[in-house]
Amino acid sequence: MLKLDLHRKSFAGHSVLEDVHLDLKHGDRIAIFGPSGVGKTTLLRIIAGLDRRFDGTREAPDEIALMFQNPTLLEWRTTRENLQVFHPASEEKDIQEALSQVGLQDKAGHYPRQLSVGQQRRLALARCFLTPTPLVLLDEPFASLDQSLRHEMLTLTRAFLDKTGSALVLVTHAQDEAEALGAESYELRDVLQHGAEFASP
Amino acid sequence: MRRNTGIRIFSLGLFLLFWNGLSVLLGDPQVLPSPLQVFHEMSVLWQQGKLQENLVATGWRVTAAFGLAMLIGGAFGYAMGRSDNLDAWLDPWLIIFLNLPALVLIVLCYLWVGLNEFAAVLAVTLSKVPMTTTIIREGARNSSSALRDLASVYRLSLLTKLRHIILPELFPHIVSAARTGFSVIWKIVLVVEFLGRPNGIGRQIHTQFSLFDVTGVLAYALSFVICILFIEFAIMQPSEKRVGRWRVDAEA
Repeated sequence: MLKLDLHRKSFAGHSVLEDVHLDLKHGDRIAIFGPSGVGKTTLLRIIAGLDRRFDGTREAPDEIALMFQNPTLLEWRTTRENLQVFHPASEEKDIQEALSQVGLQDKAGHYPRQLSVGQQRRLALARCFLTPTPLVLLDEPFASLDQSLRHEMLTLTRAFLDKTGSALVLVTHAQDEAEALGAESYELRDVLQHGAEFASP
Repeated sequence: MRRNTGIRIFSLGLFLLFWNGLSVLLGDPQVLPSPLQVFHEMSVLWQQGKLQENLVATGWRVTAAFGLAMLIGGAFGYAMGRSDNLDAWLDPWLIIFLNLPALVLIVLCYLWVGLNEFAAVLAVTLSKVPMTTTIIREGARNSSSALRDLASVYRLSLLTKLRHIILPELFPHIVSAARTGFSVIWKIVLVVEFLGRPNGIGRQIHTQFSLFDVTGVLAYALSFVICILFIEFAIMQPSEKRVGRWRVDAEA
């Protein structure tokens, strides 16, 4: 389903990633953690198809869901429209259901800046899971959240993943997030030192 | 708001009174006619059909040059704001055109293309494109790369991206470019007409100038200013409010 054979990724002649091999099947969940600047987000961008300038090959599904640490919402569109724009084929009842699942059913007509930080994060999560996709990519979506919101987000994400059966690649600083989502953990620092394969557990 | 409107109307009344007072003080309608004399001249020109004919000619040139400058400047500005490489290539050209006086562009366009409508609109468009490009480029530079990444991963169509991401993100810069563009373009159009068109408000001001007819100059100029104010209050401000309504709603 997702197969990445990355031999080398460099910026301005300086190698940032070498010998990273991924082979994920439907429903697999992996978490890549490691210190800042080690190349986690670069790897995620390559998996997402946002960065195609690397030595190697990538096979990935057309439909991918992506979520960043920042909710990245359309400030000028309402909560409902934020879902509609990214999922134009969704019906109104699907949107209502997604909003209900994240507790925003009463906020459909609100603009993002009228929502609390937690509500904005939950909206971003609803956008990520509204249409089931074979692959979900999460780039530190639980960082800088207070403990209760983080727990709430992890529980919701786990529920969505269990429901959709999507494969997951999570980029994180915290290993407990991987455990909460039932994901196999890999530290990217080891990858850089020794080369590594992320394969189905 | 209502109080402000009252102040504005009162202030306008004061301006007319000041003008009338100055006209009485000078005592020579050939140097400075009173507001009433100018309004009378406007009414005469209107009845003769001259005012409408020239307003339409100037209005067409303003509209064409404004639309072209926004489109071309917007496209170049966005592309330059998004690509450092393109920006490095085109920035020196932009600086040259930004510092080229409109009058030089007008004269050159007339000399190279000829005294025709195309040259007139081209000269005005070229005068405004650099400023629009600069303003839109700034907006594109500040746009969110995360939103673009999301749009790319979710495979949004170009039309959807334009409608829901690019244009709303650039909106404050588009408004700023439109405002400065509109206020500058109509003034340049008058110079273009003054120098080389057979009709339009600029041409009529040229004719009235040859005849030393201050009333005629003021009648044409004032009628055009009234049109511009009408466009400002009836089109520009309502559209700006309509598109930016989400900000008001979100802050309510």
